Amino acid sequence: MRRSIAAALTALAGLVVLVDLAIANPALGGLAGWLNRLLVLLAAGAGVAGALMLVVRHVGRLARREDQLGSVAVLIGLGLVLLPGLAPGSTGADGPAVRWVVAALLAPLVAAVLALLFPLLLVAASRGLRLRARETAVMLAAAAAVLILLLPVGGQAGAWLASAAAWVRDVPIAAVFRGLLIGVAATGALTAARILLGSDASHD
Amino acid sequence: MTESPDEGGRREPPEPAEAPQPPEELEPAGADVESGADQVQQQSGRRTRWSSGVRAGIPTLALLVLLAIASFVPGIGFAAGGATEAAGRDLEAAIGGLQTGAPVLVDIDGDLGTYPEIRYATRAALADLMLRGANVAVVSFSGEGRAIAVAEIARLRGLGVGPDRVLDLGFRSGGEPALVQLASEGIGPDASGSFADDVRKDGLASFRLALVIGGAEIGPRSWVEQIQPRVPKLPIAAITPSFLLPEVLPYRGSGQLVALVGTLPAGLAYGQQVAARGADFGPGRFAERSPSGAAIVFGMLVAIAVLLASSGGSLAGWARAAWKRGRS
Repeated sequence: MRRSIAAALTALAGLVVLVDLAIANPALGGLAGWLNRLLVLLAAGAGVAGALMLVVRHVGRLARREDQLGSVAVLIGLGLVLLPGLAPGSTGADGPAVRWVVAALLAPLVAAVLALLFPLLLVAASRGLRLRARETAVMLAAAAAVLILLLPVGGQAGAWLASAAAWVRDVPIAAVFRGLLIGVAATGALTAARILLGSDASHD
Repeated sequence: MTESPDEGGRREPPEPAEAPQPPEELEPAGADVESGADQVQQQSGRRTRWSSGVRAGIPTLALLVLLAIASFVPGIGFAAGGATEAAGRDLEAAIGGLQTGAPVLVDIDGDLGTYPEIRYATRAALADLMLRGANVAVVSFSGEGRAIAVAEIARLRGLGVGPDRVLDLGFRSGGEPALVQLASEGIGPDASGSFADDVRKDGLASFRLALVIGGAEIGPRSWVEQIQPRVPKLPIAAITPSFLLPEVLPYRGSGQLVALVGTLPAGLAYGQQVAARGADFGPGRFAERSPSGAAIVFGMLVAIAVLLASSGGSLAGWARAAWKRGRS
């Protein structure tokens, strides 16, 4: 019974939003807008709940003396970002203190994490070469080939490289990417259908 | 990534009966030679660990130093080909077609990690919009995008742009549902000023162009999927990092995006076009230092060398074995 009510509500909400896209009706538009506002609130609530759970989890780890350094770093990081924005007199995200934290702390940290991507890929590649040498070697050679095609070389050779790079991007890479997107969409539709039809056990 | 002997030892269950004792108390007689050998082994192990740490650090440090040196080498850059120049011209045409005072919605939702790749093109586009006399409303749907937007708005204000030309619509939480909300309900009652009043009347249809500075969370794809069916008359242009290109290129091909600057060379070409006809001073002046072509090329060459060196041996061995099998 509980499952059918949830499935019916999900189906109804989805149908209202879909039909609103197809039919211009003020009442339907209002209902779809209200449902969308609920969704926005739900997302905001999930964000706040997630942050609270993170705090609870790491305070608990500190109390149990597990990985204290990591937990302290997470909590200090949360405090550094939240406190300047929530402090009395602050203008929120536009406040100078928040802007300073973002520019001096957050942006360099995120950029550093992204910069670690290449060394981490190399480490993963070295492990891959030990475990599945042939497949990893083919993958690495393909990556090197793409990089060679993207090299900014002038003259006739550069023009040939650029056109080859465009072909690789527009044909094989685009095909793989579209395949992935279609696969993800089909899986999402299948999961949604299973939930709506009540045949998904995890929905209970 | 191999497990060190120390790590392996840590996984064994502890033995509470044995208290830590000096080696001479544990080994009564004739153990001098063995303990001496152990000490030498421990010392050499320590030295190996230290030297392996240095060995790992030297290439990183050398790469950093060489990249820093390369960033000062002039004369190496990305050649502007037909496609890259065309991408820049598309965006220039989309912005150039705006009338003076036309409202433009700019969604800044780049990621902090990939924004440096599109910062040059983004700032060129903002300078271009200012140069054409457009009024810009800035909105963000991701936290990182909001951080970038705040910095860009502050930069524009520092260049002398007043609130009548740049309207800050702030951060809207909720991701794609917030995008849908913006499309169906417009900018909402919070924004104030004559520009806000003008664009509040007809919702998003008031805007003459939407410029999407994309990232992983919200990008041109979200705009085409969520905004275009609801506001079909709003043209959408986009600036994205390269990794989003396979996802958004079909939208440019189908015309759902009126312009797409999605590679660093295209961004550089567009920035140079804007700089060439930029104002002498004020927000329309575009004198941003372009990313160093030499450092990027050097990084690419290093990456190619590392990738080929790591995969070449395996591929050559595999090809040799296959050739031998074929012969026999």
